[in-house]
Amino acid sequence: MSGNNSTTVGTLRGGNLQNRNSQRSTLLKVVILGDGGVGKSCLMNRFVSNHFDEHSFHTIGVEFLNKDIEINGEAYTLQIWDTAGQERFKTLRTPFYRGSDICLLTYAVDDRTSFKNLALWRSEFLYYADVQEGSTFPFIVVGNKMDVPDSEKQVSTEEAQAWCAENGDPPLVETSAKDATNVEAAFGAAVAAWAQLEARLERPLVEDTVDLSKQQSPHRSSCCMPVSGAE
Amino acid sequence: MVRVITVHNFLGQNVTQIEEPTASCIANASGHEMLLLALSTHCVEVWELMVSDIKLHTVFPTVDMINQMVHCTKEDYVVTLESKLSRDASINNHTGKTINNFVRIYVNWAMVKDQSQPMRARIAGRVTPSLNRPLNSLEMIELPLSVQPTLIACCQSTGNLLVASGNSAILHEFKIETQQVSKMKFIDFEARPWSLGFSFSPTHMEIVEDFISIMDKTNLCVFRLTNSMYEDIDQLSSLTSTNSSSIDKTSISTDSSFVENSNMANQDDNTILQGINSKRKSSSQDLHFIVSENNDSSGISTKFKSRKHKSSKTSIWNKLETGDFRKIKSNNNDTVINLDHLLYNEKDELQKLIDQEVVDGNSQPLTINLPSISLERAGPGHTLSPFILNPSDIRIIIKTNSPDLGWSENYTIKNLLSLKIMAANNKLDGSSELFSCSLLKPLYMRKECNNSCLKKSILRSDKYTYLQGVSCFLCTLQEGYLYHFSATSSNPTDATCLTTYPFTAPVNHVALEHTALHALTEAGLESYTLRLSHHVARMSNDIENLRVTCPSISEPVCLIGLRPFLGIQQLLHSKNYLILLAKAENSWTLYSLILPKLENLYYDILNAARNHKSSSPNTYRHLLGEAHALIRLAKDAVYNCSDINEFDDIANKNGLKLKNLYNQSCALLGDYYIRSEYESDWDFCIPYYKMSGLKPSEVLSRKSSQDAPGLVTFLTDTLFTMKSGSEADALFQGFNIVEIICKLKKPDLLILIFSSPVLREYTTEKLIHLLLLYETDELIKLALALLYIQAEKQEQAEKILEPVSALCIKRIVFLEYLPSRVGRDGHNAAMTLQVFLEKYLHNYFSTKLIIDSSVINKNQIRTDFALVEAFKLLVRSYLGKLTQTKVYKIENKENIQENCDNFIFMKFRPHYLNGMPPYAKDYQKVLNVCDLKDLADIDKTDTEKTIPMELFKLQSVLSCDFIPNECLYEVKQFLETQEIDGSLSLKTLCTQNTEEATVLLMDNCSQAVVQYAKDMYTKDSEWKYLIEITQSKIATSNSRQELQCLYAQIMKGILNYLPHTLSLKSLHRVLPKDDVITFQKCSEMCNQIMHAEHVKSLIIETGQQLLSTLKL
Repeated sequence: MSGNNSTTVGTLRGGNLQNRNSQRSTLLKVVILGDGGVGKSCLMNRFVSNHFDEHSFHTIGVEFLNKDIEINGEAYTLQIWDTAGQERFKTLRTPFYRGSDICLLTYAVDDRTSFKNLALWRSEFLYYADVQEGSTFPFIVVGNKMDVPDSEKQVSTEEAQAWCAENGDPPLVETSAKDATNVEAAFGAAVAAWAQLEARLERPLVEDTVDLSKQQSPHRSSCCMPVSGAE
Repeated sequence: MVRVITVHNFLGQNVTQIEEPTASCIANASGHEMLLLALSTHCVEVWELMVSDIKLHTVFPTVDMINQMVHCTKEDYVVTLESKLSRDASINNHTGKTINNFVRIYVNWAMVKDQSQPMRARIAGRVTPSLNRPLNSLEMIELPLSVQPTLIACCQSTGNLLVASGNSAILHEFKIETQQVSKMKFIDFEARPWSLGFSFSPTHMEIVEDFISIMDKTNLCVFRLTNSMYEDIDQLSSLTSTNSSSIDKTSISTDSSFVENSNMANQDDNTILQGINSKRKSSSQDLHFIVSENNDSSGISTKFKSRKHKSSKTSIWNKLETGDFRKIKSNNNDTVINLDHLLYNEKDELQKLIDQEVVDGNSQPLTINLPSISLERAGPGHTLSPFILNPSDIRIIIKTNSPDLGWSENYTIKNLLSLKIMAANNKLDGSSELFSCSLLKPLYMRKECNNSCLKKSILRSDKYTYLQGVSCFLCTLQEGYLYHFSATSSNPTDATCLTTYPFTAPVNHVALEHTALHALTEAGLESYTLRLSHHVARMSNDIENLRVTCPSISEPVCLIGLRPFLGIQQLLHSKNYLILLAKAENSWTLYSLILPKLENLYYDILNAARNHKSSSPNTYRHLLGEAHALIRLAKDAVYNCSDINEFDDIANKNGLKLKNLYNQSCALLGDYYIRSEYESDWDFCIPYYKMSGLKPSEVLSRKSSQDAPGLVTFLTDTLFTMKSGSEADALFQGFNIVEIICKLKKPDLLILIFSSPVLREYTTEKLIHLLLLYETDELIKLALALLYIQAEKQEQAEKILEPVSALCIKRIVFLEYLPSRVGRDGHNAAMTLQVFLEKYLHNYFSTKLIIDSSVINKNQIRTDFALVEAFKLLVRSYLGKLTQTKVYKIENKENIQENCDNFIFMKFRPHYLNGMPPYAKDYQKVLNVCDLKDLADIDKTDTEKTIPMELFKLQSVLSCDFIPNECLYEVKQFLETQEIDGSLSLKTLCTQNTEEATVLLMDNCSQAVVQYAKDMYTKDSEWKYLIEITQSKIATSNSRQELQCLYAQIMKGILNYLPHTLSLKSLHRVLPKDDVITFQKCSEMCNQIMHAEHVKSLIIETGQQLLSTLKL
């Protein structure tokens, strides 16, 4: 588990239409993938409306929801795309991978097959999302249903961590949509992973550019600058 | 000139603060008017517009940021063009982040109350079953596009989407599909297999039914996507000749069009146009005059042909457009149209052209629109036109990916208007002129007004028959131009700029109502009156028989509102509101202005008009005309096509209210004209009073008509047409009519007496008294005689009539008098009438017919009221006579023969009629007889009866090619209910469709078919058809030998005749291809005949040569 220690997650968008925050927020498209029945829709519903339905239907095709959150003082709008996990819905869901910012690869801890299929989901996503460099794309691995008794668990945390280590080292979060455990943390981790990657991409920009408008220090007396202010 | 009169008063306004929108649109959904604002926070705010308030109705999320957004009334969806900054590409190239655009459709967007309800997403064309979902849940449909969309347009009536990508666009057809399992209906979109290619990348695009407009800063084009599969055959020919573009099966290929016209440099303004190249018959609309290009007779076989002419830079004169040039036979350089001659000596020059068969003498009046005239019509109406009309480099084409993958589905492009800003048109301050905005607006009427949509086309909605036309408003920096294209117009070159609007400041946005124009300029919001109503009224004049009129289209428009607004960024228009979005520093304000109701505007204009009534009557009339025009269109038009079948109470009440206001406006205009001091104005009061629905007695009791200068004019017209009855009672009882009409000059008074039966009937004695006061000349005596007869004073009538010469009666009066007497007299009178009419027509036509029947101007005859009436009466009289089967007066056969031979129209009677009963035996009857005894009876009855000469005459009259259509129609109707001798022959004469008549004859009197064909056929296709039906008759009658034999005889007759009349080429076209042997003989015969002709001419020639040598 990593990534959620330093984040604070706050929900901005509620049911009240008039009370919307007009602050400019970053929109992030989050796609939840994983085998049918691992609890993708439940994760989304728990996260967005803090609601859990034990007997929810299969998702058919694709659905999405927008959710405003605040992480580390930054406002984000998470556009969460819930997909149908069954193979027969493949053609309906894959067109919407394009333009994703974050991908949640989900398995259920009591379903070994769903864990094994993570690699398939990852490659399906990379293929259809048309992502050029897979290793740098912000994936999050989510192991859902951690509320089940230990006896029923088929995938251990260590095993999952090992898989992550071999597959580009995405953050791993074990969750329970039913108990509302770590759900917000999972999405928070996702955003953090994205922000980290984004920062890495943006930084060269800053270093290469000379800001001509920057005011010169009035105390400057020589061409040698003190090093204290530098990063 | 623009008249300034501020009468446009908004009923109120609502204001609220909003966030900065990235896009906006108006939605009219289930009776609610809403404003949709797309925000940068990936959502769309839905504001409900109300009279009292404006409130946030709901918010729905969107996938990406919206750049453009349109609501579609059809099935209530919102279509958006969204863009997303792609992060993928930034890894290697951080400076060049790519933008991906998407077209997405949102359904059930207005229902959202709960933000936690997820939005269902699907790709258009891929079915998503939605069994486990509540109905009407929020849904997003993404169009699968292989290109980057840059612009969207949506047709409000069909729901079709047009998606542009750079300089091409693809139509996505709107569909309602049914899910097989659940039978649930859902909407979908399907891309057509072709695309439109433009010569520029539009920044603005609109689609209304099959009309499309595209625009960028310097180019503007309005065109129609027509489909010959859905058009009538007639229209097809005109389409192929007027396409401004081509169907390109592979790609936009290189075009050699400029080569053709490179040799056209030797032209000046009054160039003698020579080398008339007819493009077969299809060029009835376009005549191309191309210097030193003689051989264009190959027609339009090449796809680019028609475009070539438009694309010529020097082609100002090379295109002559006319709707009336029909027969263009000449194809040599001898035929010259000399414009100078045509201009200064039109009559002679035209006659010359008619003689040379360059133009058809029957098509009068002749209009020729040379390109400069077209430009003038399409231009702004002042000399500084900023446009080039039909520039060579604006082109629209239809593209298909490859011959295998796609086809054009037979769509072709019909250019309506293409304009380009002149490059040299730089303004004084250095800025160049540009197109700032344009819009396309359909005009749907309450009643069906065109029938051009017999078959369903994907581009036409089910309300297409209500579409009167489409208006196009376009703006340059500081001027606006209104165009209107009729839905039915077959002539695409009639683009006429109805009005030019000189705005007070540079214009940013415009909103067009059917009754007013609102322009958002840098000075504020300007509202103007339109000329659309005038134009539509003028167009529909031809359709209605009623004499209608409307204010002149050239009257200056009025600036009816001018309000300053600051910082307005956007102007939107809904049914009842004008929406302004204003920006001030960082805050945005939404103004919702409540548009005045039509009656408010009407009364406000009327009140303003009244202020000028005495001081400036002309201003009064002008404003009255504005108010009238406003209501006139509003009462007939609907806001959008979904309102057409609205029959609720409110709609009815509103319709009634508008109708009343319309009647009032007509009456007020009538009042103005009847009181005008100019005699030329008086005539106008007649149609306006008629349109007002006022009865003549009501007009006379109006205060305005008392002692009005034009009263007599009005009354005269009324009396001409009025029939006795309650209206006449009211008029004559309420007013002393004679007192009013005695102001007429004597000749006018007499004409009125002769032609108005009501006047004679109601005021007999008074008129006698009046006439007795005059000096008695022949005409007065005649009038008096009439009145005495009316008063049943026969003796006095006879006495006064004695000295009047017969010539006077016949020449001057009878035709005025005649129509007023129809249907009142008995048999003898009818006979007299008939004889008189025959004599009259004989006199009328004898001089003309003897010379040449082609000299007779059909149109002139058909528009001459008296002549048409005379024909009608004569035909009715014949029919009447023919129905009296039992009382044939035994007339001497020779007498009949002589009578017939002298009949003026005899020469028109075709020969085949002699082969039909009653002039020949009815073989069909014989064939159908089963009993031999009946056969004897047939024989007996046929020979004994004398055929009435009326039949012969009727046949002759109906055969004239100048017989008014009404007559044919009347006879046709008559024959539907009545059976007379020779009905069949008359039926064949009444139908102008030869195929119909052929079938009729083939079924009922096949003996006459061949002769009929010889007499009447003019086209190869008719022969082809005849052979086909004869063949099928032979094939189907194999059970009855005698019939088969008969049909075989017919076939033989045809085949024997054809070689004599057709060329070998035509013959081959006509003869069926499948049975070569049968028709071989016929071909051979044709060859022999041709050979014989050739030999004959050789012999003659040689003979003549021989003769000339001998003489030497």
